Amino acid sequence: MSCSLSVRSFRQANPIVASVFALFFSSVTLAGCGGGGGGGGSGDGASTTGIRVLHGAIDAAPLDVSSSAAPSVVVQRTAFGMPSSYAALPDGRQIVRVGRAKTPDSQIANFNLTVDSSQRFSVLFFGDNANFGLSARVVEDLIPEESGDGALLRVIDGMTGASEVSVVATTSGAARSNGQEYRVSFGGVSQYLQVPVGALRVSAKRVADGRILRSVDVTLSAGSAYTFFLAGEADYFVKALLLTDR
Amino acid sequence: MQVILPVTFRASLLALLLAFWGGCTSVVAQESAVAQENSSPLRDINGDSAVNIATFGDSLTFGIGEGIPEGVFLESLPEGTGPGGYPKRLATLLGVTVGNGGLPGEEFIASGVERFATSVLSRTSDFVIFLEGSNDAVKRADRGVYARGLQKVINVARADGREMVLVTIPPPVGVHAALAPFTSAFSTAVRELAATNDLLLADAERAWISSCPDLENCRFYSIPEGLHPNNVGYTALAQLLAATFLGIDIFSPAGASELEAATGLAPGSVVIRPDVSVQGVS
Repeated sequence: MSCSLSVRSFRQANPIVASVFALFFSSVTLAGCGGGGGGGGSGDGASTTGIRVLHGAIDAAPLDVSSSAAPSVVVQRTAFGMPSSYAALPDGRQIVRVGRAKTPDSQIANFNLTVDSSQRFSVLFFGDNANFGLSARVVEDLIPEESGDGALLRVIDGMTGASEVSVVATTSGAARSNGQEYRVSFGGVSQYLQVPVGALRVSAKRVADGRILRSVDVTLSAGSAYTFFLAGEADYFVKALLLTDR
Repeated sequence: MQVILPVTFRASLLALLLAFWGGCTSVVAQESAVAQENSSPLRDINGDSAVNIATFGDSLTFGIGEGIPEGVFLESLPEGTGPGGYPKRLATLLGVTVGNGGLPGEEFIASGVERFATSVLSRTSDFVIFLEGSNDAVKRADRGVYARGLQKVINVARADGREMVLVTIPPPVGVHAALAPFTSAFSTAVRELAATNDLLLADAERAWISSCPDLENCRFYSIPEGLHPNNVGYTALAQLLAATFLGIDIFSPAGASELEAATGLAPGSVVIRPDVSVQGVS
């Protein structure tokens, strides 16, 4: 529908009437003319199982994920620092392909997976083109059933520039020793650990020199599970995201 | 689907809305509302009730060559031209704030990538216009390295909540003609990355070629300097970008008149010509 053409023609003929008309018209119909946007399809947004993409490689293009068992792309155009939602995978054995977005012949990595509908997987894409090379791995997101009175939190490090990071989650005003600490190497994934609910500060520092790379204030809910995802390049641009896994 | 209302029409609509609501009186707020009331790509992304555009680049963004009229013979530019260039003209065309992040002489690969994270992210903006690579062409930089750097700054901008608008590099001519193979290769990379990343593209290389049948005597440059746009060239860049933000195909036969209607420009004032090779215009 080309709203602009009809509005312009009318405006040229009756500029004042058109403005009054447009005032009424806009309140009634502009919402219908607009819409769209969003973009960057990332999973179907509704699934809580299947596969998602965590893109942490700072100089790499967006990714598509496809499966030998699915007729179309499963996860489309996941960009750096903008994780996708989970997208359903067909049950059974399949080859999951990770490639450059909009480039069907591109193949960055293949994974053989046997999937049942209750499973969740994360594709971690990390490294860079310039120095370290690009890597991809698939992690099954095994969330412990029991979280006690707290929440569950794990750390995934997709950031270059630090061979190991220490991530500490502390409640406001709490001494560091009261917080939960994670040590995660480049491209690594920690276990889910129980942390307090409510407002927490999650800080990541480089183990080698103790430099704080990123601190984020988050609010965690009882019984929920989260991933603290680090992407980018230390000392240049670090993106830290809290993802709700359950 | 896009709804694009001409600026003059949108301004009258806005005035009526303000009269009804007795609302805000600030000029800046009015300009921003004008920019936001349609679904063209130009919008308030960060929710601060204003549309701000940042620019990033070298002397072509800073505006070296500003003030030099069409048809002046120059082998090199005099000291002290700029700033201004396309950012100043684009701000006038769109009625929004457009910053000037041009650093003359900067090579993108050697230092631009590094500067991007500090200079762009330290200021509020909804969009970042990128035009850089001419000085990399002087160094005969590798297209692949250029593309990796560009993908990096695209990723940084988007992860920080900003949209990138990529501009291809106007083709150097005259005494700078030897740079053209390199800028052309960079422009190819720019087009590819715009497509891969779903970004707005302002194809300045195409605009120069479509508008200057005799590129060696292109009216957008001081000839034979042939690297930095003159007043007309910067106007061309600004019009190209305005069309991009307003969702107008400036290379179509009707593109110029659509841009004139949308921005209130006088008929015949758009300097970019349709792309006859693609549109089949005779």
